[in-house]
Amino acid sequence: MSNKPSSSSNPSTIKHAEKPRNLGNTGRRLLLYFKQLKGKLFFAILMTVLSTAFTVMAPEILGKVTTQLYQGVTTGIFHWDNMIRTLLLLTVIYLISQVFAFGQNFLIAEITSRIIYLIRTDLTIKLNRLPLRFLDSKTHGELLSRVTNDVETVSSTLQQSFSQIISSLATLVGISVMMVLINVRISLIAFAVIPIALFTSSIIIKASQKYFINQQAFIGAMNGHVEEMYTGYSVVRSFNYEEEAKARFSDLNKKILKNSWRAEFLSGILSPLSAFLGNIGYVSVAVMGCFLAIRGQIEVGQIQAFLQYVKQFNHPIGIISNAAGTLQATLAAAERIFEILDEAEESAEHPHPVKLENIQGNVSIQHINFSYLPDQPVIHDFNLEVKSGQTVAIVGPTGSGKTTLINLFMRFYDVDDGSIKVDDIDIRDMKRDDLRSIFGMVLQDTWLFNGTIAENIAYGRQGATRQQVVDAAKTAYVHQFIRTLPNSYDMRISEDASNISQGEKQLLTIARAIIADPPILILDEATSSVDTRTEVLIQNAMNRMMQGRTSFVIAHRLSTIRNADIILVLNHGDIVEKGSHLELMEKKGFYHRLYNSQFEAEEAGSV
Amino acid sequence: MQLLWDCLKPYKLPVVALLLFLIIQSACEILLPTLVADLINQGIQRANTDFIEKAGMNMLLAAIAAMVCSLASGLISARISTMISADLRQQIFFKVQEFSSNEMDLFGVSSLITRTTNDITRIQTFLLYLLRMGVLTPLMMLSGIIMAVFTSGKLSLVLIITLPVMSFVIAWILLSMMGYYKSMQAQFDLLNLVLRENLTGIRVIRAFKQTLHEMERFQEINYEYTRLSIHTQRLIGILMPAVTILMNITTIAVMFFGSKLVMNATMDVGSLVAYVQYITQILLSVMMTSMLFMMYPRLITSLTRIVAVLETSSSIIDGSRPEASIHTGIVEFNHVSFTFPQAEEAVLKDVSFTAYPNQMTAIIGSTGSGKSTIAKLLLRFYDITSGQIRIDGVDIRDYTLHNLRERIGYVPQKAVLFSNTIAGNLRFGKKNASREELLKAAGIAQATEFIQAKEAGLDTPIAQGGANVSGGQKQRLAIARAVIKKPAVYLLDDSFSALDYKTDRTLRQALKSETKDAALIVIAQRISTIIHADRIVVLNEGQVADAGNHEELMERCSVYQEIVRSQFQQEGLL
Ligand SMILES: Nc1ncnc2c1ncn2[C@@H]1O[C@H](COP(=O)(O)OP(=O)(O)OP(=O)(O)O)[C@@H](O)[C@H]1O
Ligand SMILES: Nc1ncnc2c1ncn2[C@@H]1O[C@H](COP(=O)(O)OP(=O)(O)OP(=O)(O)O)[C@@H](O)[C@H]1O
Ligand SMILES: [Mg+2]
Ligand SMILES: [Mg+2]
Repeated sequence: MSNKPSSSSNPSTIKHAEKPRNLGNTGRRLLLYFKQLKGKLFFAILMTVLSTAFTVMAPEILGKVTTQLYQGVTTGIFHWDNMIRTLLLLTVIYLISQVFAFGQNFLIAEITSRIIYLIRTDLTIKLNRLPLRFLDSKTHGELLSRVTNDVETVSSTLQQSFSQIISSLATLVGISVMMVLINVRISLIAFAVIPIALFTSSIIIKASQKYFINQQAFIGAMNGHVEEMYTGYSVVRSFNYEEEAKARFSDLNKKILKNSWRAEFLSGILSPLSAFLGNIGYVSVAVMGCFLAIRGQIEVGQIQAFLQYVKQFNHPIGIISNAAGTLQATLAAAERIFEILDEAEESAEHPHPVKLENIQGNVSIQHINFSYLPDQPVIHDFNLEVKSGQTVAIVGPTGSGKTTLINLFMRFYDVDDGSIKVDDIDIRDMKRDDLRSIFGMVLQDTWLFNGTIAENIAYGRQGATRQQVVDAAKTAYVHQFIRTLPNSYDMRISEDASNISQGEKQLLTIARAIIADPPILILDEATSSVDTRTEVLIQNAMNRMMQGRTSFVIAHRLSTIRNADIILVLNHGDIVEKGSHLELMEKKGFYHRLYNSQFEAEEAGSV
Repeated sequence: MQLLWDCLKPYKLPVVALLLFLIIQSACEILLPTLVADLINQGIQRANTDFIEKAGMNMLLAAIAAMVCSLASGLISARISTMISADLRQQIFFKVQEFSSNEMDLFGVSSLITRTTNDITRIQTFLLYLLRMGVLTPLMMLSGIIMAVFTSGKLSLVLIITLPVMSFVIAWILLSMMGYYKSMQAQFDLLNLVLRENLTGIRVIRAFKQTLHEMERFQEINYEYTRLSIHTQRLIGILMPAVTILMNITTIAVMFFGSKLVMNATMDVGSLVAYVQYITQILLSVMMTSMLFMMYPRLITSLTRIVAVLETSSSIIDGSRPEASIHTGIVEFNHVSFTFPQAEEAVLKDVSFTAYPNQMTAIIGSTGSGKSTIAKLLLRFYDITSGQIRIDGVDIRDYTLHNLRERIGYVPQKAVLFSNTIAGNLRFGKKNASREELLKAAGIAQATEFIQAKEAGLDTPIAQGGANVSGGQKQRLAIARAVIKKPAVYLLDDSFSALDYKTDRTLRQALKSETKDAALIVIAQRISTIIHADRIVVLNEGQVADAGNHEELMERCSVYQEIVRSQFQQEGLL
C-alpha cells in the first residue's frame, strides 16, 4: 500500500462513511431559493391544485354517462341529448384540467431551471471569493464536480420530483375529503396507512442517505482524478502511468457503484413498500367493510365506492414516497453545494476603502511576517522602502520566497503581521480590485484562456482597441509570430493553450501586462522560457517601460537586473543583502557568489 | 443505441428474471380487486365470516407476493443500471488513456470530463427508468389492445386513428427536443471549460481584476444553458398534457360510439365499461412510454457523445514488436518532417541528428522553432509526417508505446505535478521505488534540501499542478521523477529555466555522473547549460541550422553565434 503513488496519503482522497450531516438544514436552505421565485411558485401551485381538482372530478362525470346508459338500457328510453351534453362537459373538464397542467409544467420548468441558475451563480460568485489557500487545497475536478455534477443532480431530481410532489399532495387532499364525506370510520383505516408509511419511509430514507452522500462524494473524487489525469495526460503517458491511473479509477468506480446501487435500490424500495401498505389498507377496508356490511352498518355500494377511493388514495402516496427517495439524492448533492457556499471567504474588504488617485508608486514594507503553513515561516521581519520610479530586483536561490513576496503584494495571501503600503496607504485599506489595478504583472506560471490571441492580450485592459493590442504585441515582440499564424490575431488558443509553444505563451503574457499599463510593474521570471535573442529585444522594450515606473523584477539571469536601482538578495525569506549591483559586487558576499556562479561554468569550459 | 444493447447483453438472465418478477407483481395486483369482488359477492351474501377471513388471508398473500416481486425487480434494476453505467464509465476512461495529443485536443479535456461523468449519469437514469417501467409497459399495452379488440372489434377502430396521431405528436415533440439537448450538452462542456479555466487561471484573473468579466463569461453560458433547459422542460411540459388530452378525447369518442352501439343493442353496458378500462390501460402505458421517450433525446445525445469517444481510436498505433526494447539509447532523427494536424505549415522540416549514449546532445533554438515538438515526436505524442525516428536502430513506431516510453526519462517544459505527496509524485517514475531511491533521485535533482526543510519531508502533500511549491522546486521534482526511472534516454525540455545558476550547475553535474550510460538530450536556452554538450543541434524555424560542439559552432554557425552573443552581451562578457 505504501508503495502505491495514489494511496490513501493522497490529500484529495475522501474518507469513507461520511459523518451524518444536517440534511434537514440543507433542505431548508434549498427552500430559501424557492422563496426568490415566490410569485411564480404560487401560481404554479395554484395551477396544480386546479388541474388536480378537475382531474379528480372527471371520473365522477364519466360515471354519470354510464349510469345514464344503464337507465337507458333498463327503461328503453335513451336521453341522447343529455348524454351528449355530459360528454361535452366532460371534454371541457378534461381540456381545462390539461390546460392547467400545461400551465403548471410551464411554470415549474422555469422555476426549477431558474433555481439551478441561481445556485450556479452563487457558486461562481463564491468560488471567486474563496482564498487561494482553500482553492489550492482541492483538486480542480473536485471543485468542478460541485458546480457541474452536484448541481446537475439537484436539477434533474428537482425537476422530476417537484411537480409530482405538489400534484400528489393536492390529489391526496382532494380524495381524503371525499372519503371522509362517505364514511369516517373506514376512512380512518385508510388513513392509518399514512403514519406507517411515513415511519417506514423515514427508516429507509435514513439508510439510503449515507449512500447518496457517499455516492456524490466519490463522484467528486472521481471527477478530480479524471480531470487531473486528462489534464496531465502527457506526463501520464510518458511515465506509463496509465495502469495506475486506471487502477485508481476502477477503485473509485467500484466505490461509486457500491454506493449508487444501494442508494438507488433503497430509494426504489419506498414505492413498492408504500404500495404494499396501500394494499394492506385496501384489504383491511374490504374485510372490515364486509364485517360491517354483514351487521348491516354499511351498504355494499358504499364499500365499492370506498374501495375505489382507497385505490386512488394509495396512488399519490406511492408517488410521494418515490419522490422522497429521489429527494435524497437532491439533498446529498445540495449538501455538497452548501459546503462550498459556507467556506470562509477572503478577508472582508475594508468597509471604507481608500479611493486611489494618481498613484505615485512608493512602496513601503514594514516588518512583515508570513507563513503558508502554521509554524513554517517563509518570510520573517521583512522591511523595504521603494521610491516611486525605482526598479527593484529580487534575486535569490529557488524557494527563497520571491514569488511569495509578489503573492503578498497582490493580496493573494495576506501578511500575518506587519504592513505593505503603497503611497502610504495600507493595501488592506484598499479595495482588492483597486489594489490590483495598481499592479500589472507577468507571472511565473503562464496562463492563457481558450479565446483568440487578441482577446488574450486585451485581457490586461478592459475595452482595449485592436490597435492597442497590436502595439502591445509589437512591444513584446510577438507581432511577427502572430502574423504568421493562420488567423493572425484571431487565432484561437486551444484549451490549456496546447497549440502554442511555452516561449510564445510567455511573450503573450508579457503583451498582456504591457497593455495594462499599470503604475507598478511586476515581472516574475517573465522571460525564463524565451530565447535569449528575443529576450534582448524585449529587455530594451521593458527598460523603456520601467522608466519612471516602480517595478519589481525577479530573474535568475542576473544580467537582466544589473541596472536595477535596488537589488534585494533573498535567502530563506530573509533579505541577506541589499544595494545596487556595484555595491553588492564590492561587498563580495552572497550576491557576488550568486552572480559569479553563472560564469563559473563558462570559464571552466573555456579553459 | 447499439451500444446500449451491447451493454445489456451480458445481463440477459437478470433481465428475464426482472420481467418475470414484474409480471407476477402485476398479476398479483390485478388479482386483488378480483378477490375483493369475490369477497363482496360471496362473503357478504352468505354472511360467512370464515370465508371472509380466508379471502382476507389470500389477499394478504397476494399483496406480500406483489411486494416481494417488486423488491426483487427493484434490486435487479438498480444493480443492472448502476453496473452498466460503471462499466461504461470505465470503458471511457480506459479509452481516453489510449488517446494521444491529437485526440485530446480534438475533444478537449473539459468535454472529456463531462463525457466521463455527467453523460454517464444520464444513461444510468434512463436505464433505471427503462428497467423499472419500460419493460412492463409494452406488455400492458399489448394485453390492453388484445382485450380491447376481443371485446369490440368495431370500437377498436378508434384506436387506429388515435394511436398514430399520438405517436406522431410524441415523435414531433421529441424530434424538436433533440437539437436542444445537443446544444445543452455542448453548453455543459463550456460550463466545465470556463470553470476549469477559472480555477487554473485564478491568479491571473484576480491579478488583472477580471473576476467580474469571468463571472459574466460564466453567466452567459449559465444563462444560455438555463434558457435551453427551460425550453426543453417546457416541451416536456407540453408533451404530457397533449398526450393526456388525446387520451381523454379517445375515451370520450369510445363512450360516444359505444353508447350508440349500446342503443343499437349490439353491445351491452358492461362491455363498454370494461372497454373503457382497457383503453385507459393502453393509454396509460402509452403515457408511461412517453415518459421514457421524454428521456430518450437526452439519452441519445449522451450516447452519441460517449460512442464518439469509444469509437475514436488513437492516431498513434501501438508498435507491433513487443519483444523490442531499448537498451543502449542511440536516438536518430532521419530527415524528419512534421506538420501538426489541422496546421498548414510544417513545424519541422527535414530534421536529422543523432544522440548517442554517454553523450549530451543539446538542442537550442529560438522560441517556437520546434524544440518541444521534437520531444513530443520522440515520445510519440504525435507521429511524424515523413522521415524516420530510430532508437537503437529500430523505428520507434515498432516499439510498443509502453516499451518506448519506459526507457525515456521526460521532463516536460511545463512541470506538471499531481495532487499527491512528493513521494507519490516521484513514484510516477518507478512504481515501487524505495525511500532510499526516492531520496537518491531527489539528491541528484538538488531537491533534498527543500524536501527536508518541509515538515513532512517526502510525505508533504503537493497541490494540483504543484501550486504549493515554488517554480524551481516544481522543476526539480519533475527532474527527480524522470531520474528515478533510470531511463536509457533522458529528454529534458527547458528544465532548468526556473533554477538559479548555481543549482543549475550542480544539478547538471550530478546528472552527468548519474546518466553515464544514457543518452542525454537537453533542450535549453542558456548557453551555459549546454556549452559542454558533445553535440549541439541548432534549430532555426524548424530546420537544423547546424550541429556540432560549441567550438565548431562558434566558428561556422551564424545563428549559434548570434545566440551566444545575445547572452554574453547580456552577461557582460563581451
Ligand atoms: N501555497 C503554498 N503553500 C505552502 N508552501 C508554499 C506555497 N507556495 C510556496 N511555498 C513554499 O514557500 C517557499 C517560497 O516559495 P516561493 O514560491 O516564494 O519561492 P521563489 O523564491 O519564488 O522560488 P523560485 O525561484 O523557485 O520560483 C518554498 O519553500 C515553497 O515550497
Ligand atoms: N498542437 C499544435 N498545433 C499547431 N501548432 C502548434 C501546436 N503546438 C505547437 N505549435 C506551434 O509549433 C511551433 C513549435 O512549437 P514548439 O513548442 O516545438 O516550440 P519550442 O521550440 O519548444 O519553443 P519554446 O522555446 O517557446 O518552448 C510553434 O510556433 C507553435 O506555435
Ligand atoms: Mg517563484
Ligand atoms: Mg518548447
